[in-house]
Amino acid sequence: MKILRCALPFILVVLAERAAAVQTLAVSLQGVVLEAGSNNPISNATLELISTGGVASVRALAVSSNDGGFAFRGLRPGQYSLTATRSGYLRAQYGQYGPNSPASMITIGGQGVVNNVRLSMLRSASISGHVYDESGAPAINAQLHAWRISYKDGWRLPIPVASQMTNDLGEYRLFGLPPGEYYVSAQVDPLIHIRSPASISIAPVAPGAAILSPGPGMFSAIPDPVFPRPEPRVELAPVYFGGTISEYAATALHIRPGGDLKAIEIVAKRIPAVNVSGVVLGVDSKPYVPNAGARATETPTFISGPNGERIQVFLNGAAPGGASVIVTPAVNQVFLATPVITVLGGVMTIAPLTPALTNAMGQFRTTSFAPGDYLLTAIANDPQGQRSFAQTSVNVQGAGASSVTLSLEPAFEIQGRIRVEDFPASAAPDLTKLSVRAANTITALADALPSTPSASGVFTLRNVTSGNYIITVPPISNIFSTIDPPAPWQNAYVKSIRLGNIDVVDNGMRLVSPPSTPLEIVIEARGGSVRGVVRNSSRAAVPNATVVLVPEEVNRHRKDLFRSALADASGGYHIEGLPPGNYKLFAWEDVESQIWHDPGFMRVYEDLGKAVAIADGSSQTVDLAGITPLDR
Amino acid sequence: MRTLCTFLIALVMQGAVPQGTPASVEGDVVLFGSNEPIPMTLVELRRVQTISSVGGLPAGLPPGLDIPGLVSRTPPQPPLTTMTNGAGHFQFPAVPPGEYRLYASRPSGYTPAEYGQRSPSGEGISLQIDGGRPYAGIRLSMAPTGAISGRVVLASDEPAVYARVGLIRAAYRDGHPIWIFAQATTTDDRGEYRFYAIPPGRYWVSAQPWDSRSTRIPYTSEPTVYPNRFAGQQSMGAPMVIERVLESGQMVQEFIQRVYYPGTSEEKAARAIVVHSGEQVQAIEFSIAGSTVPSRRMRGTILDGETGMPASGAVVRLIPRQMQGAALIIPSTTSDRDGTFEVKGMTNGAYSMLVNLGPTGNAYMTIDAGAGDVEGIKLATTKGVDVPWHATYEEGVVDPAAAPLRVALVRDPDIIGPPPVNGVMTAGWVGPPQGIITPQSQAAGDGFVLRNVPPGEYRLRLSNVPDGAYLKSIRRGGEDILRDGMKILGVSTTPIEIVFGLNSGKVDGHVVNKSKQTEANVPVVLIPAFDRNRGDLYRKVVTDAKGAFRISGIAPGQYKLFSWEDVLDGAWRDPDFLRTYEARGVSVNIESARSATTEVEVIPWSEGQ
Repeated sequence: MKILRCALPFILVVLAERAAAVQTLAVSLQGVVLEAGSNNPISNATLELISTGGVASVRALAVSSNDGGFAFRGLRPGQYSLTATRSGYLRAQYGQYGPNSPASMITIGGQGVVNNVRLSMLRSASISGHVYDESGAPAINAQLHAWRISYKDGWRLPIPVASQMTNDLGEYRLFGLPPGEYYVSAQVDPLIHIRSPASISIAPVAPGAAILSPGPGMFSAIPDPVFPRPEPRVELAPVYFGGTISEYAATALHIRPGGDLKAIEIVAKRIPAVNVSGVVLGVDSKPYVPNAGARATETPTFISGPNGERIQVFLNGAAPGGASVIVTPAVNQVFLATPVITVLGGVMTIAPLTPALTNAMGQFRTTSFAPGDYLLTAIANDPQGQRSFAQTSVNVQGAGASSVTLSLEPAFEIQGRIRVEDFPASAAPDLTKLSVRAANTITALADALPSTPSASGVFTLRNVTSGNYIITVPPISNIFSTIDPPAPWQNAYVKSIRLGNIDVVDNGMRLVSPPSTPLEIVIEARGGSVRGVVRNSSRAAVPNATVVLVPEEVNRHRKDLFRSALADASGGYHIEGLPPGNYKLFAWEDVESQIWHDPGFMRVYEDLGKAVAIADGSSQTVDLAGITPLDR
Repeated sequence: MRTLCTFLIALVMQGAVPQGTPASVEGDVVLFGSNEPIPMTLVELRRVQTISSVGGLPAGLPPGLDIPGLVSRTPPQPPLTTMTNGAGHFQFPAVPPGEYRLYASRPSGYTPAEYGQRSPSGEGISLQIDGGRPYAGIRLSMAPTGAISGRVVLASDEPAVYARVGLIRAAYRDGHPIWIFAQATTTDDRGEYRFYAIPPGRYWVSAQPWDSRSTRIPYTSEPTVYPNRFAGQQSMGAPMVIERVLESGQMVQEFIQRVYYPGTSEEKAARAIVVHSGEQVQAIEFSIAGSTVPSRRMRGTILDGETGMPASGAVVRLIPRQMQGAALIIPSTTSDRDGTFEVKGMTNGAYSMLVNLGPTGNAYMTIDAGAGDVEGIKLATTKGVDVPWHATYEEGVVDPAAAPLRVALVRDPDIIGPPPVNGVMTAGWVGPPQGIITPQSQAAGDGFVLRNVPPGEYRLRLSNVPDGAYLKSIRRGGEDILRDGMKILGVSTTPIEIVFGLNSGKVDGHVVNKSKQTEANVPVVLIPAFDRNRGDLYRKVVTDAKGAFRISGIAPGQYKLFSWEDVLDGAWRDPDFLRTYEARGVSVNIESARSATTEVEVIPWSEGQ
């Protein structure tokens, strides 16, 4: 074919045969799509087969017939993932029991047919109703979120699963929801509007995860160029179903698979959201000024000042190296207050309430939140690695708080020592392979620097502030990690952590001033262990079941006592390094990660647990019955 | 000095905040077409903000931030606001002198009203407040908004969940009728959707299935409940191509296209939905069964024209040459290491193929995809060409130094031209090469060069045209650029010859209604009687407060004058639109250096409904 460069006017290009589009290959895959529980066939499900690895990846689509059957032919041997989608059902991948459980790959060998591939789909649920204003008129374009309580490192984190707006009749419908416990909030006159179907039915959403929008185009806001929208009004606090602005007092809605919860009516009272502003004072009692040597995280812009001078500005207003001011609810002084959703550059991000940063005058202003009791924490990390901090409680109502002063104090050090018990004398462990960590429950900005003990077990935690800390000794199992520790720690557990006469393991480490006594940590070599097989009601093994060891109810505040493991391909599990005590074992086919820390969730499943008593060095076999999403 | 096109907008900064005696402004807000008062309505007086710009506006700057030499704006001022009382009456007791726009709006249920507007969704005019004189008896009319609701189903008659539904209305671009999205939403799990806060007008509804394989969440984001009278845009995106295995084991590529109510993928077969004031149009139900069609592809090789070697990483884009639908689908790809490329998702129709390999390597060709795949394309990139141009003035003398004519190029068709001011059409945008005036040639008075013009098809945009001048011709060699556009193909350095005449004519007149009363704030359009391909011959002005207008700088010839109370900008260049009104035009003969006078009767808004 000759070069067609700049050939004009039109060239009608001769068409080639579509030979390249046809690929006749050897292997086929057949299966069926069924509804979970009833095993009724599901027709018109879209199946997508994707080959993994290799350059020539294949994506193929098929549709299930009336008997739920589907077939792919002409496949190359290899590994494939298979996904089924259909309206009214949650997205299902081969090997999954529900949206939270891991998927499996299908291996297609050199020849023949792969038969009997079975996908089971759970029905999705919906919540619908109206939002009214206080006069009883429909609230138009109110922002609705369906929240689930998720857990991260054992701490509570609400996540918006689906988001919708009311229409001009005040109607809303949140749909595509997986079964579970939900809270519904409505906010009138929101600053941004989001319609997002249940994200978890498409892909699990992790805290801080970004969800890509379809990008610029028809789904971006289209402003009227002639009539500008009225000035933004006061942002209002979201009102939860149950008539409260406190997410902790909201009424939970429990939905089963396929549930259609109607008439969830919300009266959206106009309670202004509040914010807090003030100043952070340095240890010299002057406004905390960022160090000039601090590294900027964004490119500055230069503008002309009133007298023609050049001023360096950061368009988000933050000065480099400023102090961070974090807002946490007073009732739950942990990582996160209400998460906020932002849409920036077409990317919707679900993130915790972001810390407010001080400006060049030491001033800060937080983003908006519902009125109530809060704890303000200021953390400043200067470029020399010196940390200072301040904390104060505020009750914020009405117009918010505008002149809060936070006076920074220098961080301090904690000395400590690790001791081991019951390790064989012939194999004394190398303590320098351990690490001591102190995680602040409010912000990672206040975490102590990790410390490596000396051979004799002596360590120093630096940059510790007032507040609550969780002490862990990686790689020994702890709440942040369930990875099997390497020898000789595989069966070890943290037996005790004491600060003077305070039992830190039982009560946590709550500091108000530098401790006068060292931190004493004891590691016990001979933890208990438990193993077994998870089977379903037909006595078949349940691969990938999530097995969770939950402490007895009096010890549920001890997050370090929870352990989880994933059953292997034969349904087998093994958990070791267990502190002695009374526990319950649960095996969920499909469960959201860490939700077992939620008392409300545990109440639903409490009676399905199997009690087990663990002693030092004990080894037990406990077989478990898999709990399905349809069991409750 | 005037500008022959609206493309390069020269914004002039106004002076300091006017000083003077405040004036009172009062009036009533009523239901459109009646005297029924609308109480509890927000009335806003917004001072007109002016912007001056040199070198383009940078994105993301906060308002009020002045960067000398780059951007300057008058500082934004909070609007003066008041609410109408129980009788729909409003009053601003003391308004500082200045230029304002006056709006009335309610949180929902009504189209916002604007001072001077002629129809529920017409554009208003600014209100010049002079010191001392009171402004009374202002009437702002608000029309109730409507709604369109319905359901989208699949071939199996089951609900189409998460389907992307668009509310479309008509607009014009470069005189060609186009569609734009006015609103967008998604269906729920029952396949249901609802558009509301719709100003009265004609609409179309489109739907597109959600790509179930997409990891992207089809979230939508809407600005306000305030009805958008003018907002809207064409969307731009990549084609949605899926591969499906047939029972035979054959893999087919399919393209998912938009379907329009009542269930067609052909724009011409789409049925318009007329929404009257306050009307709730229900049961707009249709199937998107026909959304999947065979996809075509194009394969070929890109060569680096400088080295003659295969060009890796060249961006290949196919721009549709015809565009009527609201969504612009641009199949694109990047060439592989061996210079080969495969573009998926073509449909039948003509494309402009643009290849970009860095700042100096470009290639261009046009393709008619016909009915099948396109194979074996070979294209080599070239450097841009320097195209000289010069302007001559007949029928008189002008000082070129006093009137430095500016020439810019835009692509033809102007689909991937500069992004619209309020739009987001940035994907794959290639800016048009700008006309560059070289200081050396400026001394000679007639030697200017458009530098580094990539191969392609262009039209010229002229600005800073001397007062009274009109275009006689633009030619390049044998090409008549005014009528046919300009094709930059190879290394030819044939200059562009622009010829102006200076003995232009003008027309003065006024617009009246049926009762012979004069009509203020209505557009008056001058349309060539014969040479209707010449976009430069069309002119539009708006009548002043006394209903008078003047159009000057007209090329001598036969014209017609029209006035519509409410008309989509540019509609008059659409022969289908004009056919209906042809007999209503007033013929006018424009003679060299002469002034014509005439009276035009306005075509009322109600006639177009």
